[in-house]
Amino acid sequence: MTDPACMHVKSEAMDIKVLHKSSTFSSFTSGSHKIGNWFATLSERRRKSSMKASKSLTLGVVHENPRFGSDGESEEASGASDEVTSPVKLRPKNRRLSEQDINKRLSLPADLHLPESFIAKQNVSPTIDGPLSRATRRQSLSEIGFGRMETYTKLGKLGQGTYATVFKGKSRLTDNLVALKEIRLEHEEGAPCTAIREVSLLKELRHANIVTLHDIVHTEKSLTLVFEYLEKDLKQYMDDCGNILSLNNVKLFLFQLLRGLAYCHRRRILHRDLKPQNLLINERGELKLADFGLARAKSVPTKTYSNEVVTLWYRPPDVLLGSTEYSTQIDMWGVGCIFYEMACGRPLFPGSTVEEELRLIFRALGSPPADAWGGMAASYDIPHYQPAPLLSWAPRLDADAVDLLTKFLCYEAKKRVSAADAMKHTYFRSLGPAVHKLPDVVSIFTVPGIQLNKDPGYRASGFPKSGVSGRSRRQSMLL
Amino acid sequence: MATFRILEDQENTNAHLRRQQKEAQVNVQQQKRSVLGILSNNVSRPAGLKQTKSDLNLCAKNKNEVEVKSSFSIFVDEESPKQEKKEVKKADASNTVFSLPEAIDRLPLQVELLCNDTPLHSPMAVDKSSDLKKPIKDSENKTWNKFMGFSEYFEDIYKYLRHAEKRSRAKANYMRQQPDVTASMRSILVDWLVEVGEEYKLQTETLYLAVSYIDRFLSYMSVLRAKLQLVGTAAMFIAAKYEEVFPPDVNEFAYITDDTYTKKTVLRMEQMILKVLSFDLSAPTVLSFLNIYSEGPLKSGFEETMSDHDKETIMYLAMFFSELSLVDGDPYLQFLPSVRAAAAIALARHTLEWRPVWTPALVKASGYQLSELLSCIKCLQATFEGAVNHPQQAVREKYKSNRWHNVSLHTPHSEPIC
Repeated sequence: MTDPACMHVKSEAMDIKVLHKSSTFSSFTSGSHKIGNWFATLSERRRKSSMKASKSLTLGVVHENPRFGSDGESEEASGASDEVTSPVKLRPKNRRLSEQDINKRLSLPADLHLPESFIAKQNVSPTIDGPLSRATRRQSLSEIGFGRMETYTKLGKLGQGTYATVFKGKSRLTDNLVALKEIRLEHEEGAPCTAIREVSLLKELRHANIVTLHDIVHTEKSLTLVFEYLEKDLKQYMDDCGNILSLNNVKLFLFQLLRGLAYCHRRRILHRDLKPQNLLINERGELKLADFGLARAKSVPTKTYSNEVVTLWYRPPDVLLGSTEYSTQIDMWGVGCIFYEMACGRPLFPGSTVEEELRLIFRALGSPPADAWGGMAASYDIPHYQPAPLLSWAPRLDADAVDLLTKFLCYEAKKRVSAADAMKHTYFRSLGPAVHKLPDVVSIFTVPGIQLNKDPGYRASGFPKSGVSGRSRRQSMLL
Repeated sequence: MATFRILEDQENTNAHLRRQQKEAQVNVQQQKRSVLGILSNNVSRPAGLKQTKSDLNLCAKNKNEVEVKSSFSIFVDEESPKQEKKEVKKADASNTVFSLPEAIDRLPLQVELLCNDTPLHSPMAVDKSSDLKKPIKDSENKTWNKFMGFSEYFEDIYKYLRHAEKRSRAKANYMRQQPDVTASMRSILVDWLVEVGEEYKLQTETLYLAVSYIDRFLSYMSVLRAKLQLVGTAAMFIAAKYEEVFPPDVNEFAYITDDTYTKKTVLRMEQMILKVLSFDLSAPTVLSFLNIYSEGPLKSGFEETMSDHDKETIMYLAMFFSELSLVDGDPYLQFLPSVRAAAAIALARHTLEWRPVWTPALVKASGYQLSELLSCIKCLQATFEGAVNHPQQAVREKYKSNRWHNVSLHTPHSEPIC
């Protein structure tokens, strides 16, 4: 199945071939004359476009965490490559290529182990010298092991949903842990909408506070998304510390949530399913937005949320009442709910039906004005509630925090504070100015003085191995 | 790798043999019943294909049949099942793309479906009458008002989209390298997709996305004409799944090709397209830029004094021009979507005699000076002038309706834009 020669034959059967140079497919397995031809055709015609293409083809471009040092590995492997003797001399300057050269060439992270056979081929074939075309790069990535299930070892199941299963796994390329979200394609509609949106949108997003999609393995039976692995989600984190978080940590988590969200919103992407289960947290305290299955780019009508799929607790009242007028503010209500939940240790509006959810909201925040949401609320029989002061039910929050919370939980969507503005709120002043000046992909924990505190309710057994609650976690990734 | 695995067990003939068969197919064109036939025929569509609502269940098929002028009136109730069966067989026999056993296997099902309860079993029938569809249609009219909520991030978003539009582009001249399909076949395909979009009441954005997937796919893969419609169908299916709130299911996409392709084949092609495009499906389209220019927080496309009706007319006319440009891949693939959108608005304002054609507000919102748009505007103007006599008429038909303020009935302005 992965033999390039077979691939060529099979693609012909579908009457579809790679344009221009069908020999690409056989260049690694067939005689040397073909490689020469292929290279000649390749270099001129595609010089310009291919460079562009190689940049845009980010499928395999991995942002593996550089913490896992890699220099030793590279040296080791490049030593191995010196042993290779090329059977065919194609080009006069037949220099040996180290693993580092190849990684750099293919825009791959430095900590990748390249298979020896691949390095050997790179020293024979001209891939590395000529301009890199989209197809060539794809071919190379595939030979390294991207896009192939064999590259990932399954270690155990993290959770199961209706048509996806999430496994903990390990990449043989980097030895890093990964989360494998396996979507079965047997339900006869091909790739599900959620997967199509999640993959295409996540590929646009490279940010320290958004989960990284490393790879996609697409076969006829399943579609597996390979994510970076994070130890737990916020729900589990809160459970593990008895729902009493350090207020410093609450601030750091909220700031990171806003930072990731502002990045999405600047790219006209709405998450639309924020909840603690979709916020992943690693040992360092880095929080990352995950599960973009309900996310949408820009301005299309909302998909009506189904109660069975998404919890109601984080849904804004205007959406509960059926509004399809939505924008980035749709995400901000949920941020407020999560903020409260982190600080107070319990969900803010844990309704089980739309009606109950609305009642809980109105009871806490007061009845909406009669003309709210274009009179949409009028069709509901809303008892009159006096607004209860937020402070009275959020005793751990100081005045700044309550002020910010009030700005998230604003009935009128247009008046809800945006993620970008919320980051500038006085509540976050104690973090200092440096956290606002970081490049997108840099974590806030690189700023001196920013660190996670020990949570008051933290139980020693909690962190990396979370045996008990492990089964229910990550349910949210399973939509 | 897996992409290409999807191709196995398709057929065991080699490419050369199939080419011969395909030539043979051209000779038996008459008997063919799908757009496959049209693609090689390049028959122009009869004008005025307007369907009444009750016809809508069938019109996807009927339209195809009109073109192919085969006796495929099998959807008409009077026809006897026996006769239909014979015809279906004949058609399948001429369709050498798939192995014969598969075609025969499908026969009974197909006949039953066609003669007995097309309106009932047709997924389209359900969709047409469904109440679920209604709110979406309403909201679509307002879709471009919704950008307002993003006003806070508007500049960032615009900057980002201008960057993103350069990322995944089709090659402007890919058609030259296609050995079998031609620009006119592409036009027929896109024209057909316009009709599909109309029949299923799909978002216009879905159409734009599908066409961009097709062009990008064809930039990398050579496709035989017999498979071009399959590429188009699968691209539309993917675009619908990306964009629509309630995407039609795969059966409907197999159905609209008059069952030329099976559901399984459509799904295989979907997988192949996703692989070739490496899931880069969210590229901004001409329509997304049209929305930004006309309804962004700056409302830059319009003067304050304009009535809502005038504003809509400009927008719809610009949409009409853009969709015309979608049908003709050449010369428009060389222009960025933002340039095409800006040029369409300028030409719409010119056609409706709003002066100046390109206001300072538009310069500010788009970052383009009129001079940068001129070459694209000239192309659009030529396309507009030629639209009446274009062999493909679906876009003109679409924009003749009241819903779009009958904008396609406007005549080109006699004077050049400047």
